[in-house]
Amino acid sequence: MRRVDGAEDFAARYQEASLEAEKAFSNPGLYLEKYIVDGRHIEFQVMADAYGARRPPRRARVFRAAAAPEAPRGVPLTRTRRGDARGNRRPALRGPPAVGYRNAGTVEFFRDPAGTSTFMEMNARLQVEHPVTEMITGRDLVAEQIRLAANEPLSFRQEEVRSQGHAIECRINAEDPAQDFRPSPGLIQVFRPPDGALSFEIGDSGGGAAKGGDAEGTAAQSDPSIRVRVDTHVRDGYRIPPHYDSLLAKIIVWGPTRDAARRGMIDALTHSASKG
Amino acid sequence: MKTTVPIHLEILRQPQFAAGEYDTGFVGRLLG
Repeated sequence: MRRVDGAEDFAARYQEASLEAEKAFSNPGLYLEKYIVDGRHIEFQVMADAYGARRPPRRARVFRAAAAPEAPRGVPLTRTRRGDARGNRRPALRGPPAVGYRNAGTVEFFRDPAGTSTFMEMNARLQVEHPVTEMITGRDLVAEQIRLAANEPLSFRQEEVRSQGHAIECRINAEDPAQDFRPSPGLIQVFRPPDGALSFEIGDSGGGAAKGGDAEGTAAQSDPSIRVRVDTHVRDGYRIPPHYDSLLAKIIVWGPTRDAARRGMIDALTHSASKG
Repeated sequence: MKTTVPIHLEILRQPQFAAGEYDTGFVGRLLG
Protein backbone atom coordinates (compact mmCIF):
# COMPACT_ATOMS: atom_id res chain seq x y z
CA MET A 1 0.00 0.00 0.00
CA ARG A 2 1.30 3.42 -0.93
CA ARG A 3 -0.04 6.85 -0.10
CA VAL A 4 0.38 9.51 -2.76
CA ASP A 5 -0.18 13.15 -1.83
CA GLY A 6 0.75 14.75 -5.14
CA ALA A 7 0.71 13.91 -8.85
CA GLU A 8 4.49 14.25 -9.01
CA ASP A 9 4.88 11.21 -6.77
CA PHE A 10 2.31 9.01 -8.44
CA ALA A 11 4.46 7.24 -11.04
CA ALA A 12 7.21 6.28 -8.62
CA ARG A 13 4.86 5.04 -5.92
CA TYR A 14 2.80 3.14 -8.45
CA GLN A 15 5.85 1.36 -9.80
CA GLU A 16 7.07 0.47 -6.33
CA ALA A 17 3.74 -1.01 -5.31
CA SER A 18 3.31 -2.82 -8.60
CA LEU A 19 6.71 -4.48 -8.35
CA GLU A 20 6.00 -5.45 -4.77
CA ALA A 21 2.65 -6.97 -5.74
CA GLU A 22 4.16 -8.94 -8.58
CA LYS A 23 6.86 -10.31 -6.32
CA ALA A 24 4.46 -11.28 -3.57
CA PHE A 25 1.42 -12.40 -5.58
CA SER A 26 2.67 -12.86 -9.14
CA ASN A 27 0.20 -10.14 -10.11
CA PRO A 28 1.27 -6.51 -10.64
CA GLY A 29 -2.30 -5.23 -10.77
CA LEU A 30 -3.18 -2.47 -8.33
CA TYR A 31 -6.35 -1.05 -6.91
CA LEU A 32 -6.51 2.73 -6.54
CA GLU A 33 -8.73 4.52 -4.09
CA LYS A 34 -9.07 8.01 -2.71
CA TYR A 35 -7.22 8.71 0.51
CA ILE A 36 -9.28 10.86 2.85
CA VAL A 37 -7.48 12.52 5.75
CA ASP A 38 -9.39 13.05 9.00
CA GLY A 39 -12.79 12.14 7.67
CA ARG A 40 -15.76 10.60 9.37
CA HIS A 41 -16.99 7.06 8.96
CA ILE A 42 -20.77 6.79 8.65
CA GLU A 43 -22.70 3.53 8.56
CA PHE A 44 -26.29 2.66 7.76
CA GLN A 45 -27.85 -0.52 9.05
CA VAL A 46 -30.14 -1.97 6.43
CA MET A 47 -32.43 -4.97 6.75
CA ALA A 48 -34.30 -6.33 3.77
CA ASP A 49 -36.79 -9.18 3.60
CA ALA A 50 -38.31 -10.93 0.63
CA TYR A 51 -41.52 -8.95 0.95
CA GLY A 52 -40.37 -5.44 0.15
CA ALA A 53 -39.59 -4.11 3.62
CA ARG A 54 -36.34 -2.47 4.58
CA ARG A 55 -34.96 -0.23 7.24
CA PRO A 56 -32.00 2.17 7.47
CA PRO A 57 -31.56 3.77 10.89
CA ARG A 58 -28.43 5.80 10.59
CA ARG A 59 -25.48 5.59 12.86
CA ALA A 60 -21.88 6.67 12.97
CA ARG A 61 -19.00 4.26 13.24
CA VAL A 62 -16.82 6.88 14.86
CA PHE A 63 -16.51 5.94 18.51
CA ARG A 64 -19.54 3.74 17.93
CA ALA A 65 -22.03 6.52 18.37
CA ALA A 66 -25.52 6.93 17.00
CA ALA A 67 -26.80 9.11 15.61
CA ALA A 68 -23.89 10.98 14.11
CA PRO A 69 -23.48 14.56 15.37
CA GLU A 70 -23.47 15.70 11.78
CA ALA A 71 -25.04 12.86 9.88
CA PRO A 72 -24.79 13.50 6.16
CA ARG A 73 -27.86 14.81 4.46
CA GLY A 74 -26.84 13.37 1.15
CA VAL A 75 -25.00 10.10 0.75
CA PRO A 76 -25.41 8.82 -2.79
CA LEU A 77 -23.53 5.87 -4.15
CA THR A 78 -21.21 8.20 -6.02
CA ARG A 79 -20.60 11.62 -4.55
CA THR A 80 -22.43 14.74 -3.56
CA ARG A 81 -22.03 17.84 -1.47
CA ARG A 82 -23.31 18.19 2.06
CA GLY A 83 -26.61 19.95 2.01
CA ASP A 84 -27.98 18.02 -0.92
CA ALA A 85 -31.07 16.59 0.75
CA ARG A 86 -32.19 14.56 -2.21
CA GLY A 87 -29.99 11.65 -1.39
CA ASN A 88 -30.76 11.48 2.30
CA ARG A 89 -30.45 7.80 3.18
CA ARG A 90 -31.86 6.81 -0.18
CA PRO A 91 -28.67 5.25 -1.54
CA ALA A 92 -28.42 3.04 1.53
CA LEU A 93 -32.04 2.06 0.94
CA ARG A 94 -31.75 1.50 -2.78
CA GLY A 95 -28.56 -0.49 -2.85
CA PRO A 96 -29.49 -3.81 -1.21
CA PRO A 97 -32.79 -4.35 -3.06
CA ALA A 98 -31.12 -3.41 -6.33
CA VAL A 99 -28.85 -6.42 -6.06
CA GLY A 100 -31.49 -8.72 -4.60
CA TYR A 101 -29.94 -8.66 -1.16
CA ARG A 102 -31.83 -10.16 1.79
CA ASN A 103 -31.21 -9.92 5.53
CA ALA A 104 -28.98 -7.50 7.45
CA GLY A 105 -26.41 -5.39 5.68
CA THR A 106 -24.17 -2.51 6.65
CA VAL A 107 -23.72 0.23 4.07
CA GLU A 108 -20.66 2.36 4.75
CA PHE A 109 -19.73 5.85 3.66
CA PHE A 110 -16.82 8.13 4.37
CA ARG A 111 -17.26 11.87 4.66
CA ASP A 112 -14.31 14.15 4.11
CA PRO A 113 -13.79 17.39 6.07
CA ALA A 114 -15.38 19.39 3.22
CA GLY A 115 -18.59 17.44 3.65
CA THR A 116 -18.37 15.22 0.59
CA SER A 117 -19.59 11.70 1.28
CA THR A 118 -18.26 8.76 -0.70
CA PHE A 119 -19.60 5.23 -0.77
CA MET A 120 -17.07 2.75 0.62
CA GLU A 121 -18.61 -0.68 0.74
CA MET A 122 -21.50 -2.76 1.89
CA ASN A 123 -20.81 -5.54 4.37
CA ALA A 124 -23.15 -8.52 4.20
CA ARG A 125 -23.70 -8.73 7.92
CA LEU A 126 -25.13 -7.05 10.97
CA GLN A 127 -23.20 -4.04 12.22
CA VAL A 128 -20.44 -4.97 14.61
CA GLU A 129 -21.73 -2.23 16.88
CA HIS A 130 -25.42 -2.96 16.31
CA PRO A 131 -26.30 -2.24 19.99
CA VAL A 132 -26.16 1.50 19.35
CA THR A 133 -28.74 1.18 16.61
CA GLU A 134 -30.84 -1.07 18.83
CA MET A 135 -30.70 1.50 21.60
CA ILE A 136 -31.91 4.41 19.49
CA THR A 137 -34.59 2.46 17.64
CA GLY A 138 -35.74 0.04 20.35
CA ARG A 139 -35.55 -2.81 17.83
CA ASP A 140 -33.96 -6.19 18.44
CA LEU A 141 -31.88 -6.55 15.29
CA VAL A 142 -30.57 -10.01 16.10
CA ALA A 143 -34.12 -11.32 16.43
CA GLU A 144 -35.00 -9.67 13.12
CA GLN A 145 -31.97 -11.24 11.49
CA ILE A 146 -33.10 -14.70 12.60
CA ARG A 147 -36.61 -14.01 11.33
CA LEU A 148 -35.24 -13.02 7.95
CA ALA A 149 -33.03 -16.11 7.80
CA ALA A 150 -36.20 -18.16 8.30
CA ASN A 151 -37.71 -16.33 5.31
CA GLU A 152 -40.20 -14.51 7.52
CA PRO A 153 -41.01 -10.84 6.96
CA LEU A 154 -39.64 -8.06 9.11
CA SER A 155 -41.81 -7.43 12.14
CA PHE A 156 -42.14 -3.73 11.34
CA ARG A 157 -42.44 -1.42 8.38
CA GLN A 158 -40.03 1.25 7.28
CA GLU A 159 -42.32 4.07 8.34
CA GLU A 160 -42.48 2.58 11.84
CA VAL A 161 -38.76 3.04 12.38
CA ARG A 162 -38.11 5.96 14.70
CA SER A 163 -34.73 7.00 16.04
CA GLN A 164 -34.74 8.59 19.46
CA GLY A 165 -31.87 10.07 21.42
CA HIS A 166 -28.22 9.17 21.15
CA ALA A 167 -26.17 6.12 22.02
CA ILE A 168 -22.46 5.61 22.54
CA GLU A 169 -20.69 2.26 22.74
CA CYS A 170 -17.29 1.60 24.27
CA ARG A 171 -15.50 -1.66 23.65
CA ILE A 172 -13.63 -2.64 26.79
CA ASN A 173 -10.59 -4.64 25.75
CA ALA A 174 -7.82 -6.18 27.78
CA GLU A 175 -5.23 -4.04 26.06
CA ASP A 176 -2.68 -1.45 27.06
CA PRO A 177 -3.28 1.83 25.18
CA ALA A 178 0.14 3.10 26.29
CA GLN A 179 1.79 0.15 24.52
CA ASP A 180 0.08 0.52 21.16
CA PHE A 181 -2.91 -1.44 22.45
CA ARG A 182 -0.86 -4.55 23.15
CA PRO A 183 -3.08 -7.44 24.38
CA SER A 184 -3.03 -8.02 28.11
CA PRO A 185 -4.13 -11.65 28.59
CA GLY A 186 -4.47 -13.34 31.95
CA LEU A 187 -6.83 -14.25 34.74
CA ILE A 188 -9.57 -11.83 35.77
CA GLN A 189 -10.01 -12.02 39.50
CA VAL A 190 -12.74 -9.41 39.79
CA PHE A 191 -14.99 -8.05 37.08
CA ARG A 192 -17.66 -5.51 37.92
CA PRO A 193 -19.73 -3.93 35.16
CA PRO A 194 -21.18 -0.51 35.83
CA ASP A 195 -22.99 -0.14 39.12
CA GLY A 196 -22.61 2.17 42.07
CA ALA A 197 -24.31 5.41 41.08
CA LEU A 198 -26.10 3.49 38.38
CA SER A 199 -29.04 1.33 39.36
CA PHE A 200 -28.17 -1.75 37.39
CA GLU A 201 -30.05 -4.92 36.61
CA ILE A 202 -28.28 -7.98 35.29
CA GLY A 203 -30.34 -10.13 32.98
CA ASP A 204 -29.89 -13.65 31.68
CA SER A 205 -26.92 -14.29 29.46
CA GLY A 206 -28.96 -15.29 26.43
CA GLY A 207 -31.48 -13.41 24.39
CA GLY A 208 -31.93 -10.14 22.71
CA ALA A 209 -30.59 -6.75 23.27
CA ALA A 210 -32.86 -3.77 23.27
CA LYS A 211 -35.67 -5.67 24.92
CA GLY A 212 -33.72 -6.69 28.00
CA GLY A 213 -31.03 -9.05 26.91
CA ASP A 214 -27.54 -9.48 28.19
CA ALA A 215 -27.47 -6.86 30.87
CA GLU A 216 -29.42 -3.67 30.89
CA GLY A 217 -30.26 -1.10 33.48
CA THR A 218 -31.22 2.46 34.23
CA ALA A 219 -29.22 5.21 35.81
CA ALA A 220 -31.98 5.77 38.33
CA GLN A 221 -29.94 7.67 40.86
CA SER A 222 -27.83 9.98 38.74
CA ASP A 223 -30.15 10.53 35.80
CA PRO A 224 -33.32 8.51 35.27
CA SER A 225 -33.28 9.24 31.56
CA ILE A 226 -29.98 7.40 31.00
CA ARG A 227 -30.04 3.74 29.99
CA VAL A 228 -27.01 1.49 30.27
CA ARG A 229 -26.51 -1.88 28.61
CA VAL A 230 -23.58 -4.23 29.05
CA ASP A 231 -22.87 -7.11 26.68
CA THR A 232 -20.25 -9.38 28.17
CA HIS A 233 -19.20 -12.97 28.58
CA VAL A 234 -16.78 -12.21 31.40
CA ARG A 235 -17.21 -13.33 35.00
CA ASP A 236 -14.93 -13.46 38.04
CA GLY A 237 -12.27 -16.08 37.39
CA TYR A 238 -12.43 -15.75 33.60
CA ARG A 239 -9.12 -16.23 31.84
CA ILE A 240 -8.47 -14.03 28.82
CA PRO A 241 -7.00 -16.28 26.14
CA PRO A 242 -3.86 -15.01 24.40
CA HIS A 243 -4.88 -16.23 20.95
CA TYR A 244 -8.24 -14.54 20.46
CA ASP A 245 -9.94 -11.18 20.65
CA SER A 246 -9.25 -9.47 23.96
CA LEU A 247 -12.76 -7.99 24.13
CA LEU A 248 -14.12 -8.06 27.67
CA ALA A 249 -17.36 -6.18 27.32
CA LYS A 250 -19.31 -3.70 25.28
CA ILE A 251 -20.85 -0.91 27.31
CA ILE A 252 -23.61 1.02 25.60
CA VAL A 253 -25.21 4.13 27.05
CA TRP A 254 -28.30 5.86 25.72
CA GLY A 255 -29.38 9.41 26.56
CA PRO A 256 -31.98 11.83 25.25
CA THR A 257 -29.15 14.04 24.01
CA ARG A 258 -25.64 13.28 22.86
CA ASP A 259 -24.14 15.05 25.84
CA ALA A 260 -26.37 13.12 28.23
CA ALA A 261 -25.16 9.89 26.65
CA ARG A 262 -21.56 11.05 26.91
CA ARG A 263 -21.90 11.95 30.58
CA GLY A 264 -23.74 8.71 31.25
CA MET A 265 -20.89 6.77 29.69
CA ILE A 266 -18.37 8.54 31.89
CA ASP A 267 -20.49 7.52 34.90
CA ALA A 268 -20.73 3.95 33.66
CA LEU A 269 -17.01 3.58 33.03
CA THR A 270 -16.14 5.25 36.31
CA HIS A 271 -18.29 2.74 38.16
CA SER A 272 -16.97 -0.35 36.45
CA ALA A 273 -13.87 -2.24 37.49
CA SER A 274 -11.69 -5.13 36.50
CA LYS A 275 -8.75 -6.57 38.38
CA GLY A 276 -6.43 -9.28 37.27
CA MET B 1 -4.33 -6.02 33.95
CA LYS B 2 -4.54 -3.15 31.49
CA THR B 3 -7.82 -2.26 29.82
CA THR B 4 -9.04 0.39 27.42
CA VAL B 5 -11.24 2.06 30.06
CA PRO B 6 -8.77 4.90 30.76
CA ILE B 7 -8.46 5.90 27.11
CA HIS B 8 -12.23 5.81 26.70
CA LEU B 9 -12.58 8.19 29.66
CA GLU B 10 -9.92 10.48 28.29
CA ILE B 11 -11.70 10.63 24.93
CA LEU B 12 -15.10 11.23 26.50
CA ARG B 13 -13.74 14.14 28.53
CA GLN B 14 -12.11 15.88 25.60
CA PRO B 15 -13.89 19.18 24.78
CA GLN B 16 -13.59 18.40 21.08
CA PHE B 17 -15.35 15.08 21.49
CA ALA B 18 -17.99 16.65 23.69
CA ALA B 19 -18.65 19.15 20.92
CA GLY B 20 -18.95 16.41 18.32
CA GLU B 21 -15.84 17.64 16.54
CA TYR B 22 -13.92 14.46 15.89
CA ASP B 23 -12.80 12.38 12.95
CA THR B 24 -10.82 9.23 12.17
CA GLY B 25 -7.59 10.94 13.20
CA PHE B 26 -8.85 12.03 16.60
CA VAL B 27 -7.57 9.12 18.69
CA GLY B 28 -4.19 9.11 16.95
CA ARG B 29 -3.71 12.81 17.69
CA LEU B 30 -4.80 12.28 21.29
CA LEU B 31 -2.29 9.49 21.82
CA GLY B 32 0.29 11.68 20.17
